[in-house]
Amino acid sequence: MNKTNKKFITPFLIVLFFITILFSARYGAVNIRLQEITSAFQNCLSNDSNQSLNERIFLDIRLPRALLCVFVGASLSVGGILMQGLFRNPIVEPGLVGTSSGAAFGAALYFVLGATFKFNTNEWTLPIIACLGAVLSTTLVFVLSKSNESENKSVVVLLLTGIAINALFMSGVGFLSYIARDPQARSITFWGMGTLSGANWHAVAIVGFTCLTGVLLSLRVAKHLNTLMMGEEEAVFLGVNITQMKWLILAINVVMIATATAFVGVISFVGLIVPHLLRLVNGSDNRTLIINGAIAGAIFLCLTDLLARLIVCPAELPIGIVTSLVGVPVLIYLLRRKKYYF
Amino acid sequence: MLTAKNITYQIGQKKLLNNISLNFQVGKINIIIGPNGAGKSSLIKLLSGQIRPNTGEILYNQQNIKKSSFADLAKYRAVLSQKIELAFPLNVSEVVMMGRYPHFHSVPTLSDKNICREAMQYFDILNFADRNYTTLSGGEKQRVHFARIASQIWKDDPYNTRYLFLDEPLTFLDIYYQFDFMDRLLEFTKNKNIVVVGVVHDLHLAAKYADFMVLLNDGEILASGTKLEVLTKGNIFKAFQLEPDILINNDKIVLHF
Repeated sequence: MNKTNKKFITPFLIVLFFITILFSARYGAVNIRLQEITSAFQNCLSNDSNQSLNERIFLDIRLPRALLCVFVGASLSVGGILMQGLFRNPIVEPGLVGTSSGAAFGAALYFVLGATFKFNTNEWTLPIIACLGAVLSTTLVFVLSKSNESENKSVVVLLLTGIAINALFMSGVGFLSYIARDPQARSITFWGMGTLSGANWHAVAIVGFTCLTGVLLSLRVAKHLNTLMMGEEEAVFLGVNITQMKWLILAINVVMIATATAFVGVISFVGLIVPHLLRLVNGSDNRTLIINGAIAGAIFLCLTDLLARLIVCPAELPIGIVTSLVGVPVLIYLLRRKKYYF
Repeated sequence: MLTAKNITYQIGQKKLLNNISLNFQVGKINIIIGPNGAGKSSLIKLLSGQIRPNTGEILYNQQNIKKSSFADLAKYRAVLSQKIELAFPLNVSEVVMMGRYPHFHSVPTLSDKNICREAMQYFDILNFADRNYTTLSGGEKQRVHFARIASQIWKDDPYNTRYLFLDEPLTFLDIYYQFDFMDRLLEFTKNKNIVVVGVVHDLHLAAKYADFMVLLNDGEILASGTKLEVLTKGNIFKAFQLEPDILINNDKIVLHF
């Protein structure tokens, strides 16, 4: 793709982004007309409590859900770009350093213990426990992978430790599902496939905050991430403080992924597929890849969530099923394209 | 001027470099030679500030480089390595632009873009500026990095010396590109305020281009000075266990093994 075409990628994605949000907010078990959307906004601004049912559905359910999709999708996609850049490896997912398996373990603990001991729980308990699980597993990965070896080796050690800790926490999840009773085991399974049905404005605010902060900070290290493509030595020659950058990138990724996962469960494949899809048209320059990746991730998750709601309407599928269902054929297609170099 | 004062570098108990003191002058091609494991790469890493010596100090114009951050150093010190592969596909022009990364914050200025274009023109790669780096041949790739390194320290400044280190950059090039690069390097550095220090494996190439030569052996300086002073039968035998015939004709020196 030549230079002039590349300039149109961002505007094109932004237009697509707004169209996707509109679609995602309109369609579902109940279809909302455009007129109702505008009147909902007007009523909201004039503090009119006389809202119709559809207007309430739009403001309290559809819109927060679409926005949560936006922020979670952007977080996963940018997390994937950061991790792939840091590990110089195209097959890395943002959950690699243990974050999402830790969150899944926290959630499983909540489902099993919550049912057994009947805690006083509210809507915040699950996200908080999941987030704690994510922080615990990630910290474990960092502490265990710390070594006095050369910087070059430490990334490989980090990667392998991440895989090991992931396996450990997933076996924990497996054990909890094994001892759980049927309904709890089902909750664990569903959570592990992700769902955005719990979306509300609190979740949007929190995930939105970490997502935007994370993307802005990522843009600051984009240039340095480019130099890392040539290897750590070359990056140092170009003035990059590798150690500082590595910890910053890991911190951004963990905070974004832990927060997003805590609210919506484990959503696989987005962090892998969206960056690759985008590299085909955008190229691998991280300065544009991060910003376009955020928008494209948002679009991708909005669309898959819409599909998840429409396929078995009025029920809905866990979104993880749809992201893989859509993602796998696309990835296979990409891999078979001759133009794609690694 | 680049000065190394009594530097020692060791990993664990093993001394890779022992008490090295050297001076490298502006405007000369300084070449380090020596057998495998002599400590050439470690010396280049120390001189370029990538690693720190255990004892001793490295001074750029009397200023200890310990005091400069990586980011500052990158503005006037460039290193060319051998065989660099990219983890992801990038356009050639973007790879060259990386040489200017230390000089701008987030968006390249017009002058950065001009420098990149000039550097690409200088190293004859302008005609594939928009090609994907990963599809290039080995010789083309290395020329891209010559251009990148050159753009990093492009601007000549009589008050601020620039430093260029070459860590065996010619190893994977055919003989045409080896001489082609050395000629371009000579032209690029001629009459400029720049210190060039390179590690070269090929003694013939070193003999042709070196103004000042250092022969390392077993972490110590076996000989240093002009090529006539360094490339003697005795020195070469001590370092490489080979006794070549040496033909000297005016300023030219020919080794026959």
